[in-house]
Amino acid sequence: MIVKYLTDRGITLSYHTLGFILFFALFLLIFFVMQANIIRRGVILVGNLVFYYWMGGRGALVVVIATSLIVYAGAALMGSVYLQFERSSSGLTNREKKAHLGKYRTRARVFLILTLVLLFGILVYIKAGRLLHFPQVESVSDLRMGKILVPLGISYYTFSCAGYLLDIYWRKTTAEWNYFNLLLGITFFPAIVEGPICNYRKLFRQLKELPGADYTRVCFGMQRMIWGFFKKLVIADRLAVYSGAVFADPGSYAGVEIVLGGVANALALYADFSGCMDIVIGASECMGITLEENFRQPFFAETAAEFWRRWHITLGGWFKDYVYMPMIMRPSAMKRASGIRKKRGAHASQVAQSTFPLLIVWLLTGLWHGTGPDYVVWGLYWGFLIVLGMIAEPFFTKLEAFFGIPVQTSGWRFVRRLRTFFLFVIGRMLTATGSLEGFALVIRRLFSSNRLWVLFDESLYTHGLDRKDFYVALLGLLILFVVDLLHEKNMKIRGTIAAQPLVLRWCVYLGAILFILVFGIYGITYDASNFAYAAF
Amino acid sequence: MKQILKRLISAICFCALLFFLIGRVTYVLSDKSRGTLAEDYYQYGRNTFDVIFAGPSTTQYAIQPMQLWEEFGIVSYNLGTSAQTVAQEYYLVKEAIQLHHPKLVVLDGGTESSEKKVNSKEHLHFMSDGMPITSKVKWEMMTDLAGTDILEFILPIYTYHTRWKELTKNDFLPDSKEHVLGAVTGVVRGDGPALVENPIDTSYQISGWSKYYIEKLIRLCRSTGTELLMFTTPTLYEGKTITQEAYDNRKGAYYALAELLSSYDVPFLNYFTRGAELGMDKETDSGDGHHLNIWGARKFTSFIGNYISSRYHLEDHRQDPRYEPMNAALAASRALMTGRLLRSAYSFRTYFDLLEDARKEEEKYIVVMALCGDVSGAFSAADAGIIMQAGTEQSLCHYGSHSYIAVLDEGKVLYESDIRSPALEEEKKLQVGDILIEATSSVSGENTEIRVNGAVYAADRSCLRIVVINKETGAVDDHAYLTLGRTDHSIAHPQ
Repeated sequence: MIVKYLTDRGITLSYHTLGFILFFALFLLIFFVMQANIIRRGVILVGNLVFYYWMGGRGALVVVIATSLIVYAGAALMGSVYLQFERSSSGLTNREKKAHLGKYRTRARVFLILTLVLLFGILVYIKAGRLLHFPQVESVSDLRMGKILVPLGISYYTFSCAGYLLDIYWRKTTAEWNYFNLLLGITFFPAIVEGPICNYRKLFRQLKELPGADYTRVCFGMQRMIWGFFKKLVIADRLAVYSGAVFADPGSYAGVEIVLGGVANALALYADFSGCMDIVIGASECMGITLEENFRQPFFAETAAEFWRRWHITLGGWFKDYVYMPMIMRPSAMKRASGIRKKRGAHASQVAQSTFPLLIVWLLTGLWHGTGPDYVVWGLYWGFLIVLGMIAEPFFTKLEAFFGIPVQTSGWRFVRRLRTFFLFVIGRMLTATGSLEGFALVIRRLFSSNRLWVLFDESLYTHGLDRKDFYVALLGLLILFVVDLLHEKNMKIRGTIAAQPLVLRWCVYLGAILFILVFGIYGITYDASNFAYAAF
Repeated sequence: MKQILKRLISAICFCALLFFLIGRVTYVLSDKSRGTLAEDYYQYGRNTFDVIFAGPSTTQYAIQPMQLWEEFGIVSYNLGTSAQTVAQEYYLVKEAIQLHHPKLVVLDGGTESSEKKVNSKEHLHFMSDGMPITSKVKWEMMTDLAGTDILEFILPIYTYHTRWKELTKNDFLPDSKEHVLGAVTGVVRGDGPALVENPIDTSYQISGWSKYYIEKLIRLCRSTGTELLMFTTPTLYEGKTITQEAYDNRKGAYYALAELLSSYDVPFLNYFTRGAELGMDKETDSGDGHHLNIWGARKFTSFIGNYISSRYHLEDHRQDPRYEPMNAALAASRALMTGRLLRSAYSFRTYFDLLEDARKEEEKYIVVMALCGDVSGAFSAADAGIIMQAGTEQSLCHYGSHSYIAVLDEGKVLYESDIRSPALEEEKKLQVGDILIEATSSVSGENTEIRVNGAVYAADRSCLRIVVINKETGAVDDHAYLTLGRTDHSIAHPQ
């Protein structure tokens, strides 16, 4: 009732809103007042359910609880199979145990497949429903044929759950027998909407061993949240105004404006998604939970493969652990690779072994991001770039040596980083208009309309962002670049600030908060954009 | 334990400092338009005001509580805000009754014409932003009127932060809204076509919301023993803010309102079409036809003052030591008002009207004028007559190229060039008390300058330069230039 009352008055819990700040402040207060670990876990669970109900409605809450029950059942069934195995194999040697495991693993596989079918069935149904333009509904009672209920953050928790089930199947972890602990982890509110895709083994362990209140840790968490708000509200939402205008109607823009729009789009996405991660990880840090990092200065990457090891790390890690590695570690694949290594060498073997799994991984990554053909092409675009990079690596190494290019100099590294950045920009252009036809138009405009004077005749400032907004965006990007550079050099910025005298420290904190309040793009009058990655 | 306490205090101090700074930043960013609720209302102690006025901008302009104090000893406040609706009036009155227990509430019936609870979100901001967050009535009002946008009314920075691009010097200055006990003053003397008195549309129905809140207001006043009086202000001609069609509609609306109020025995002073009965003239008393200017407001306030003082047994507090600060406020408001009015007047005629008023009523201003450049033939006899209102003795329209300096004090001419024997250039130096005035005038325009105690004023434009010096403070209250136009001249004020 209270939630409905507040929702009716425009108060939502999107991570970048005042509603979330107030919710989180109240949550944290109650969380720290409670001393006993079990009560704190109870507070988190209540917080999770309220948050999810508030954000997704009753229907989404039902779906996520149903999902948790499916996962619990699947995990418990597999866990009991392996318990039986443990009991029956006590006293056996390792070799005997391995032989003995086969039939138990087969039984466990049945439960795994059943659970995964159910789990991914929901996800595929929703993705396919979107592709078929089924109307979306929020209530289970409205759920009929041709309508889809889209629970918030379903892609994230589905993947996290699948990883957890596969880990149990592979006996990397044991099943969580306490349902409420499992529900606590699956619905963990800072991570449920936009990830990071959690490793539940680590999360469950941390949730069971919640540390006490720590002033420094809470301060650090809040600093990280402020940094996230800065990235989201000052940079991302500002740049998104310009790029949104360009890609909504690319036919009206000059080539140079499209390039700027593409760059703005890429930077906005980075500031948006990584800003959200800062808020999420910072909020978790306040509670004493360490979530996996999802970004590591991606625009400092020199190759496409390195870029994806720095961008959306948990998604890449998930595909690597649960799709790529199982594919290349199959005995038949290993055997074939071994044969090629003997005949053609290690590089050829690596190429032969990795190419197909990489293309599959990137096709799935594309589908994870969106179900349209543009996302399929986007996924394959990255897949081919990475495969080609791998194939051509020796050639480029020779070429660099032939021309005597000093590859370790900062200048050459900058060129490689710039190249990788523009590969990312092109990738963004593939999906920015929402269709491949749109992308074709973007490319046509890029080469056919060279109205360079738009950079000088003030018309640049007529597409949603005026000159002052551009200045603020540039200032924000400069700050972002400096911070990323310092992180790249392994500098602990929060620690450095914390070591300063109180007056200086407070000036930094207060200045940052006021800067965001004044220059942030937010408020009811503004058509509040949600985080870009919450749609997945 | 000591460490925990230290950190707790540190966190509380940080939050307090943060909220203070957010408050200051919000003030700078907030809308400073005149249509907002006056800032000082909540600074007065409880039970201060005997009479509360509320209504839209017409009320803000028409009712001058300081004049009511000066003429009748009535302590009142004007809670008018731009486009205020009856629903907004209801909450303002409800809070005013809790704070001041006024004997009388006087409301503008002009709000009735709105069919909505609130005309726009911005208009609700004009009213609610000034209300303290601790006010229960504010929360009640927001729940009722703010709809889905409640957060932006709790924290106005939510809305106003986008104003950072349009901040000006005035946004950083305190009290730049020009309210005096809630009222504002218009100084333009506008003119427009006369309104036709068509028959009243008696079929007009009061909108559901207006009727609902009027009845609530009546119940509220009756339950608290507060007298309720309603009124409308005179509309004098057709202008930008009132068309003939709107005028006819309002006449119908006020007819219906009168019927409704009469059924509840609530008196209604409907002077919407009856400005002439109060001695008002469309050429002198209205700024835009619908809003009274300072001269019209004086007449209307005087009328309302007479009416309420004779019927509602309101106490004359002028001798009441408790209200001594009101006399100080009156003196301060007078001191500020002339300079403020002068600085906001852009019409040639209005400016010299105000100079004339200042000369006649306050006798504390020295006015210095100096011609710059060749203005032969620029002034008609009518123009010259307007300039002579300030107290000069020679008509500038009669002669050809000449320099001209005039220094006027308390209606007397301290110095005036003899333009019957024209000079191309002249210089005058005068010491009045502590004030040193140096003026030069030249037909070439190169050397024209007015200096007051060594500082140059109104230096960068041609034609007639004017400097108004406050003798009491020695400060320059206004400096301006008369800019010549083809059909009409105007006054410009340097920043």
